[in-house]
Amino acid sequence: MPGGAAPGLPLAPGPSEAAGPSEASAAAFQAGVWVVARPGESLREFMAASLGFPAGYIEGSVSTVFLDASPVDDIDAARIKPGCLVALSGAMPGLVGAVMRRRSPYASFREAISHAGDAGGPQAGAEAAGGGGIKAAGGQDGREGAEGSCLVRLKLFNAVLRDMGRLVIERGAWIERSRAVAFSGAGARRDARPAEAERPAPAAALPGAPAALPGAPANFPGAPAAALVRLPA
Amino acid sequence: MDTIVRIDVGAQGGPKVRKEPVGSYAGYGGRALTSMMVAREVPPLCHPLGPENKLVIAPGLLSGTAAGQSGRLSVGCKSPLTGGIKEANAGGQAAQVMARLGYAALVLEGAAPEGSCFLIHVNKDGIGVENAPQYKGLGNYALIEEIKKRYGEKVACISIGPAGEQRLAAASIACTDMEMHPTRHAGRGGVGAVMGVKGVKVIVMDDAGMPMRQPKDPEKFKAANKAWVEGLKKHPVTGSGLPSYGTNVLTNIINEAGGFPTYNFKQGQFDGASKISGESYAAMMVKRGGQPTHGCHRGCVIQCSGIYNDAEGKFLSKQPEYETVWAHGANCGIDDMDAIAMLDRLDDDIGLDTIEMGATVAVAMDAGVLKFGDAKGAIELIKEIGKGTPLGRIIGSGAAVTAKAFGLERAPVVKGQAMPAYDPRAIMGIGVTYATSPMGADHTAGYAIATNILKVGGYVDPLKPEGQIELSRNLQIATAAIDATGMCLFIAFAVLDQPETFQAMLDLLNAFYGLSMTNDDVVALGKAVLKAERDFNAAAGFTKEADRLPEYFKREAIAPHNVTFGIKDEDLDKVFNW
Repeated sequence: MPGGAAPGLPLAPGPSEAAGPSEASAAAFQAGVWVVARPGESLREFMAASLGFPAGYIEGSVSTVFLDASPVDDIDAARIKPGCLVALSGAMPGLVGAVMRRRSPYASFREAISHAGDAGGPQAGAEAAGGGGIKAAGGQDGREGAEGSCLVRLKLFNAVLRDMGRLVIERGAWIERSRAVAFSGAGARRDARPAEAERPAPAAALPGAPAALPGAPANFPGAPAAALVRLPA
Repeated sequence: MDTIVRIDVGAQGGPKVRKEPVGSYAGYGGRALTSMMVAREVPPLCHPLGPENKLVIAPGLLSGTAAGQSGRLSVGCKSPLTGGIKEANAGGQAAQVMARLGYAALVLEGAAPEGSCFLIHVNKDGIGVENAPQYKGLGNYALIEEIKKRYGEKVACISIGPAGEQRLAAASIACTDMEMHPTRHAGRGGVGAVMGVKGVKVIVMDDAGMPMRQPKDPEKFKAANKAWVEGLKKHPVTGSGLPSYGTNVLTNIINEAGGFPTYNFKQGQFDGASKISGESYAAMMVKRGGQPTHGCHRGCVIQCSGIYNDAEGKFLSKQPEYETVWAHGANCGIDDMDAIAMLDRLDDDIGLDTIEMGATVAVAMDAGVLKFGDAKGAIELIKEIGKGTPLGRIIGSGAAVTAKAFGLERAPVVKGQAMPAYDPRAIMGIGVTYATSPMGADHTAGYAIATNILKVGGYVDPLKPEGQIELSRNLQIATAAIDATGMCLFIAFAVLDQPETFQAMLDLLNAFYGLSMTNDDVVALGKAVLKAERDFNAAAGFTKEADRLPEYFKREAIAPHNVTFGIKDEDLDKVFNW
């Protein structure tokens, strides 16, 4: 459904007028944070519903998208799987920057690494979570997660980081405890709070956010083995 | 800008200056002028460091005018690095000043007496050449400080450092920026060695008293320039992305794509990429009182340059470009922003191509000279070049020579020139351009993305894969044409997405010269330049076998995508079938 938001998915307000996230949070986003998503949702749905990006922003500003290191042309065909890596960026300079854009006329330059799309539709990603569709609860490894939820790794770069980083933090973003040490050493205004590591995520305050999480993020399908701490809002 | 000035550095009685009308070179500027002149006047089989070679320095067709982004300077010659024709270009003040002084080209010819160290001074009253041995051996930064004492801070300089004086194949030519730092370089192909062999240390240009170049149709020119600047400012890349983060905004993206050559092209992702990204550099520059948004010359609209301060808040270097951050960073396993900025400064000071140097240091690391990630060792290695030690001379001769010296197959070069910051296995289309460009491995050869606007080879449907061979051809044609204008290649982003912005560029040319050029004329110009360059190379002994990547790119897969370069040789041979 190019050009529009996924039907039925309420959207959050537009980007904050405030400056981007703190330097330490920006560093965390560039290396990757963990966020909650729904297995099988398309990347457009992930951005709209799980992250809260406005539809116009997704279409007009998130020009460069990667799924597991592969440039994505069709964000409606590429789907979330537990533990996958999503990277989001604005339009990039240079020939290769343009080559990496969604639906680039120069996409053939990187055809060997482009994302091929997920033919199986929503079911494919959900099955990868070990459940029977996006409403399934729990993972194939027996871990408990909120109904239809999983963790994915998210990287935000450049203008998208500046515009949407705070919003993602507000909705919930986690990093490995081992990285939180480096995080605090990198000059964070406030450290990530290890005490929150096992604390359930707060109920979503923004429309379209996933429901309150009944368990710690570490129990979600796709979560890393390492303990997680939440980025401070 | 209707005069060509030629300086015979080997004339009896000292350098002889001769001025002549542009004549048959009328209508050419920038790369078009340098390549046409080299193709016509330099014997293809000559030695690049011999008296038959010429160094041609030319501003673009729109340089010196009020047109935004028109400050690129082209430098051409037979390359000491590749043995073929070369055009390297740079930003900075020189193109604007030279054009306002009325010169379409400055050509250095002949053989300088051994030990020459000339200063060429150009102003509205004429051109003077003097021997200036007091400048011999100075780095570019120290040299420019001396020039400022003598000529003030409003001149523009073109100079070489110790690498050029040593005639090393990776030597660059420096151009001063708006702050008179020697930070903008015609880097590629060893053009600095040719300036060195002509015995010229520095060209000082002063445009005091010279007006801005005036268009034939001022009203149309003014309107076109307004549309041009608006087009650049409204585009997300030229209006926001580049000004905020500089070219290094690409580090995170190319790394994410798995096309970020790491450890001498052994893998496509670098664990430390986010530590040296454009975003991280921009934050550091703000924290230290530097300037992440800054132009490299007057009339720059995009402002992708920047000023990087050290931990004490003192100027260290310009904001390192993406290519530099990759070359000295990921490719050498270095994730220290300050170390990379220091390497950038050393390259600028000694007068070296940062791409070639990063690739060469990585080759040396691969050969065991240093360990990957050894930032201090890399800094000391570059300093060896400035000192002129035997090891320094090997490193300063580039990646191909260094690999031979240390018995290594893994030299990421085409036609002897190191590949830039995109792995051609992950991004195969760029590999086509690396392989077939007359310049050697060059990311800018197919940089200007104007295919659909120029209609080179027909319209490209964004939803269908287009042949990489055809695209590379079209991009090389478009780039050759835009290189003639003196326009910064970063305009390509706005031109790609906004047909009206490309039309504004054509309108600028037409209004300034009283022409009625069309898309077809632009394409014809690009083709003519490429044909002249390829004919020169053929006469210099290049065969189709020179249009290949090193074999190991076909043999060794690169992570994370585990791909090899899969374009067939016979397809590479079709790139210039038009």
